[in-house]
Order: sequence, then C-alpha cells, then structure tokens
Amino acid sequence: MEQLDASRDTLEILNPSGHLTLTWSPSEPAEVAEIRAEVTRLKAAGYSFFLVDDTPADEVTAAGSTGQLKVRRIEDPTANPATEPVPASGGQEDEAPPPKAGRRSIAMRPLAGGVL
Amino acid sequence: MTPQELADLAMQLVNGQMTVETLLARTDLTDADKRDVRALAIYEIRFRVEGHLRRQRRPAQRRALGLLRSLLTSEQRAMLSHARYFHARGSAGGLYRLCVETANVQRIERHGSRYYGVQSFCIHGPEDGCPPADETISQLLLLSADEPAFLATANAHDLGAMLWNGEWRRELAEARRQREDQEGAA
Repeated sequence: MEQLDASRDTLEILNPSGHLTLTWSPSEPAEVAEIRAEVTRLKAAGYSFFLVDDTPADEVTAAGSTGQLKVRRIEDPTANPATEPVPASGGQEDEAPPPKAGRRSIAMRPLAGGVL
Repeated sequence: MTPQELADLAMQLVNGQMTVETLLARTDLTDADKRDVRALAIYEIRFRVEGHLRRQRRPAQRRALGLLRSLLTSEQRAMLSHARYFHARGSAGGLYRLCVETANVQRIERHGSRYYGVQSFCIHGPEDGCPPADETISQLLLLSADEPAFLATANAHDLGAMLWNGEWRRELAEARRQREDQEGAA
C-alpha cells in the first residue's frame, strides 16, 4: 500500500491493474469537480461506492474473533458526510465515525451472481 | 506410437514446425494417434496461455492484495498469509470464508474446533481482467456493508450438513477401526 496524505480524501477504484488511487482535497473546488466527474463516469458504468473506516478492524475483534470491517455504502465519495443519505438497509450507519479529514472510499464494480 | 513420440509431435505442432495439414496427411499415424496429438497440442497451448495470463496478472494481484490487507485485522492477515483465505463477518452476523486465489465465498459454521462450509456462493464482477483479490475486496465490502444484498445477489449452493454431524463422524471412525482390525487380523 502506498502512503496516503491523511489530510486528503481518497478514492480507490478496483480495476485490472489491481486498483487506481485518486486523492483530492475537499476544500479545493477544482479538485472536487474533477473527482466528481470521475465518480459520475464510474456510476454510469455501474460502480458502487463504500466508505471505509480507515482504522484497521482490530478494534472490533472483541465482538467476534474474526472481526468485522467498518464500512458503509455511500452514493457519492465527494459529498459532504453531513449530507450523505443514510442507507435504507444494512450497513454500519449507527456506528459510523464522526466526519474527519482523509476519508477513504472504494469504488467497486457491479457484482452479479454466477453459475456454480 | 509411444506416448513420448505423440508428445514430441504435439510439440512440433505447437512450435510451428509442423502444420495440422501435414499431421493429417501422415500415413504412419492412426486416426486415434492424430486425435491424441491434436489434443495434446491444444492442452499445451492452453497451458502456455494460462501461464502467460497468470504472469501478466501477478503485479495486479499483488496490488489488489495490498489493498485487501489494509482492510483486514491482524488475525485475518495472518490467516490470509498462511492459508490464502480468511474469515469475515457479514453485517447481519453470518460468518464467511473468502478465498483470494479463486474468489470463492463460503458461509461457514463452527462445530467444535473446526469450521465447516454450509453454503457456497458464486458472485463476481464483469469479466474485465481484474485480479481475483479485487473480487475478494468487492465481496468483503458488500458482505460487511450489506450482507442481505450480498445474499440476494449471489447464487447459493448448499454444501450439506453431513460433515459436521457428530454421529456420522463417529460411525465413520468406527468403520475405519473395524477395517483396520480386519486388515490386521488378515
């Protein structure tokens, strides 16, 4: 994993090279607009976005010896966390950490059931 | 023709030292030999192509594994290094085994000191050359954020309950003991 700037938000896009990392400063409108355009393109391709609590999941191992990743589905990684809509079902919204700098999101290709 | 001679002919075909027309025109080979040579050649070509694709994907798989590890607990990372799979809990509490080499997912249950597969799931992204570890990341994200959505999307296959049935295991052990006794007596 490359070292990321903690003051910048990050979007990791899963792709054939492993993943592509994009970073931006939420306080820079030009950078946000650039990322938003990429997010729009990804949405059109069927990608969905997940906000990851960057803390390694070790802290939740007390709940079960195998741990559980703190992650929730979001609509737009560039959106202000305060205005992010709460998902209708599932997710870890009740345990979501307060908004902080350096949010980390992952863009995931659409999944479909295959043949067993 | 010996198997080695057939294999040599297949290699000539693969390496372009002989054409299929030349092979078919040979009168010293039976039809069965010609079929075997062609089958061996196809097998060799597939083996080479798959090896080439694996080598091409290796850096991508490494990058994807780096991202995956950053999402795991130290216990899960250790399991991944040791066994090439790890266990993870879904948002609804289910326990799953995710394999990074095959991108397979199984729901597992613990019985005694062992974990047993209960259901196998087939769920994957489009065929666009993404490494298997990327598939695993996607599966982990969906399971952790919205396990019901994962279950609704994936095709599930029941693996059966026989393996963790204690009575069945005892019967199996007893049958083995009896067979060993019989073999010892004989």
